[in-house]
Amino acid sequence: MNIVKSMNTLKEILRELGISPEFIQPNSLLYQDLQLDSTEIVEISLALKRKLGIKVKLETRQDKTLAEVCSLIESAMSKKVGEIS
Amino acid sequence: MKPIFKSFTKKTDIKGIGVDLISVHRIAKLIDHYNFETLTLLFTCSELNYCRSANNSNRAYALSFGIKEAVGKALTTGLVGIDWNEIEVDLTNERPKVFLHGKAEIKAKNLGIRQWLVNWWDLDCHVLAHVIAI
Repeated sequence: MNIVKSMNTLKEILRELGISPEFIQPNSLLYQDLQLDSTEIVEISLALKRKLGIKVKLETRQDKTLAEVCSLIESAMSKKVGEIS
Repeated sequence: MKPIFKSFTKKTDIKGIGVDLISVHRIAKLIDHYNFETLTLLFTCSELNYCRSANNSNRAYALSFGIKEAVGKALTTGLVGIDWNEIEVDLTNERPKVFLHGKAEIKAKNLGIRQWLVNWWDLDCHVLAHVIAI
């Protein structure tokens, strides 16, 4: 899965959460810019598990940009592929 | 439910305190949206089995979720570095019980926590969870 596909999946999840597309930018921060709360952060993790079958933990010490979340998605996808093959 | 504050004697017994207020409707929406397998990211199989058969199922899910958040706060880091299902809530008795596994258990041991006291209130479609670590 490439970065574009990861970003598209993430954008789709955020739109489903009701985030306005204009705020969904690669450098947008989850808490500071998108103003997500802990339940919405959990919902992103659940949606990633359902859509892609991956476990991505988003409760981190530092606020993450969407680009950084995409990197986490790609790492989890690589790990998943490694486990299958 | 009787207050739990008489259960310990000295102020120094307290290793941590956590509080969380959670909307029952929001958790209900989340539960409706995902299947059992996906929800194991948040809840243990025992929690899922209990909550879905509970009289007030949505409130049970919300209470379990809120207690997990409150325990994370009492551990000082929130859910950073801890999986949601490593904090297990037993709602089968009047007073909820907390069991920790994996990284959550290690963190609690490092903080010298031996016991969790849990109190909760049902407030107009919200659940307020309050935990004290001793």
